[in-house]
Amino acid sequence: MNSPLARVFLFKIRSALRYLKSQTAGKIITAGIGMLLFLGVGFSIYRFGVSGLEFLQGYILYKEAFTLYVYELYLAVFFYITSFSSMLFLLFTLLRSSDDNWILATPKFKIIPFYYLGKIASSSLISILLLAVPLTLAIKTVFETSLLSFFLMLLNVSLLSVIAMLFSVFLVFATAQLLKMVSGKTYKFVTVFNIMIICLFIFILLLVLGWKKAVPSDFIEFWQIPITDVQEFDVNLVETRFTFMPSHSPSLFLFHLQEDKYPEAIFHFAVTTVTTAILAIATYLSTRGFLTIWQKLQEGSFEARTKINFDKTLPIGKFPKILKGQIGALFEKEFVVMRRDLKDIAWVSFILSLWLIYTAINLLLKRAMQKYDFGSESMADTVFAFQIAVGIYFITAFVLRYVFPSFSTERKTAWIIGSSPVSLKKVMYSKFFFFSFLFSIMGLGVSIFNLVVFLPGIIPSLLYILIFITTVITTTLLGLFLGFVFPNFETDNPEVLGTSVPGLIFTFAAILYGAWGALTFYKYIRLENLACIATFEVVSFILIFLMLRFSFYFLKRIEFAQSMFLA
Amino acid sequence: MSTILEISNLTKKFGSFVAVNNLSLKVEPGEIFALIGPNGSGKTTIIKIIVGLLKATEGKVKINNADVEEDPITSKSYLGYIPDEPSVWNYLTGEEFLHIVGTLHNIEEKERTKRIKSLLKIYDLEGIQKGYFQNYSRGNKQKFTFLGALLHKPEILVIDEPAVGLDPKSISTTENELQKYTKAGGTIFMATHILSIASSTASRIGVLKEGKLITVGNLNELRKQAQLASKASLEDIYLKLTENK
Repeated sequence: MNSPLARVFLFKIRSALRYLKSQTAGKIITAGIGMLLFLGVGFSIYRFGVSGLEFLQGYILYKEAFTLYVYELYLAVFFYITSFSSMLFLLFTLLRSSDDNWILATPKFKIIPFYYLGKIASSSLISILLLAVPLTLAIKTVFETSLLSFFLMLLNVSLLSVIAMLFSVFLVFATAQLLKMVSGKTYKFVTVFNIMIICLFIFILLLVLGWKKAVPSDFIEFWQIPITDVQEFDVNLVETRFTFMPSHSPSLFLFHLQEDKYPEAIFHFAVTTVTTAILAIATYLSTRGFLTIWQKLQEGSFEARTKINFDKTLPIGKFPKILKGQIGALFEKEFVVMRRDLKDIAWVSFILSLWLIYTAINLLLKRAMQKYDFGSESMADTVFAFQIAVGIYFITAFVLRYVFPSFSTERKTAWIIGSSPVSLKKVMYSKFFFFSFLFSIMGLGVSIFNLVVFLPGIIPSLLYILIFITTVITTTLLGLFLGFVFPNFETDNPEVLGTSVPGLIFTFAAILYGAWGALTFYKYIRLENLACIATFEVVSFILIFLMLRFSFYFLKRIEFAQSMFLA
Repeated sequence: MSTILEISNLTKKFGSFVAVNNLSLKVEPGEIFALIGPNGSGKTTIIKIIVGLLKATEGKVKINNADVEEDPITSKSYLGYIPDEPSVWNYLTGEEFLHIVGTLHNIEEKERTKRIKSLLKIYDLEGIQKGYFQNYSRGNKQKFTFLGALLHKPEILVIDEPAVGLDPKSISTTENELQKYTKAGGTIFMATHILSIASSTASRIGVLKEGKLITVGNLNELRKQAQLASKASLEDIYLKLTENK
């Protein structure tokens, strides 16, 4: 424990333990509830995994290929999510943050990239625990593999997440080094914006290439299944589709180990290990000269001067530009602050692109159902109604990231609104209107796309939109409501705030509510049951009314500092 | 003219810790009142209660007879606040920040624009107002928050550390502006560690220790209470009063 890196981590662990020392009982209960919810989500994924794998084993002819395809796709998504979130974390915390500047002011500054790698790893633990453990447990249950195999599978998936993290660190630093080389002594091209744009471009390119290779426009043609004369085909067909993916060897390892094919499994484990080692060396090399890059990135477009190079004849601009009054100004403030924050834009783009990818899969499914005339009418209805649940799942992700923490993240800027003659009601309304409007527009876009694909007729289309918009408004208000009922002024990191117990409660409630909305719509299209929709709308309206009514009671109690240390 | 700021039996507790202990105080219009005291004596807590960021555990605070708890909208309309930490939304420009503050104080757009233009000249900030807050130096952030507090021509300015982050020329500009503001009838309530500012600008000074107001008066009255010679500096008075009581 004498190395500087270990000491810094020890310091952080001690800080966390010290945090638990005050109000310990409350924090343990809170952590317990969080753990239960966490286990609940993990268990759901596990059950879904078991059911899915058992279902696939029912296909005598295709079960191996289908199973491998599921592993490949699941781990590829796992890889993309882990590496993308690592990349954003690195770009916006390491490269533009002052939290750990003190380490950079010491002679041991070289530990910083590795310290952040550790921080990324700890933040990725959630995705490992939530996505990887339930999958490996499901494999163990269905294929009755040994305990040793289970741990090896877990190690294998953990190695994949290390590869994802190293890949993102390498990508960011290699891009920065490249920009440094191109810039010469001035380093003028080395900016967070340039690094982000290049990394995003490479990332999206890899995503598109991966998508094109792995997900064909016609599933039936891809599987080469003759419709009338079904014949067995082998897993090589799947293998060739994923050969280039970093998740390919870990997928094959799972596949071979479940079949007790140890030599093949060992080979793929070795490939994964060697890949990790090569990436680790490449990452280490890419972080050389890190300090000069970091120094340049702290500059931004620094404007400490008041006299040089500024045009004093510029007229005073207008704000708010379109709306009027206090709510209008706060509404436009939300918009401007979100639009100009690269990190926010990157997250919105990422979640939205996942949503669009999912929607595109539906289009393919619908086309396949029409072309090959498979699947019953009820299956088409189920897929259509399921879009509401999927849409709400993505809206929940947006609300959790942006709306739920929006009161707590005002911690440092709360003095502006808190000391002005404006009621917190208006602040709440401005946030509510802004986020409801934004998410409704996004949701409407995807809904219209879905409606064009499924062509359900005018009345079902209008009801679909009605249910979706109602759900978006209720979910947004619920996120906002829980955000100020349980304000947390100990951090202004939205990711940390989102993983708090109230954040988990919100996620759970929003997903259940979204599922109810989807079920309501399904009952309407299958049974023409309008009463279900009426009930859903009335209950939603009552929920909205109650949250607005009681929000004023909770808003009155808000103090923008919860302890003397923050005061 | 009525009392502009009236604090009666104010107590603030954080759990069992008493940050402000039964404090009473009146500030009259046109006064510059400086609150001085060691770190953790409760200065910022008092200021945050006055401006409505914290709630009092006991006691009342009135601004121009408007109770900050019962009638916060009215009481806040009388005050301008300059915090010790000039944090503003990073991606807002200086002029957008001033516009938002002006809008929250219900100043019409035309009047707002006119006032912003003239206020920017105080610190020679013209041109820089189009830059993002995150790219300003600490001093420039502080200057913009100062301008934001003056924008709606408040009855009372509540300032937590007026000179932090400012260069000597800007400190001098700030002192001049504060004098101009009080000559025009404004009142200032400030908390500061910089005793030279308190002694050169304040008409009355309150000394705070462990949440209690141990004494209030002008410089001469404080010298008498500290039993010091007539030439004793505020630093001598401060050290004597805070060490002995």
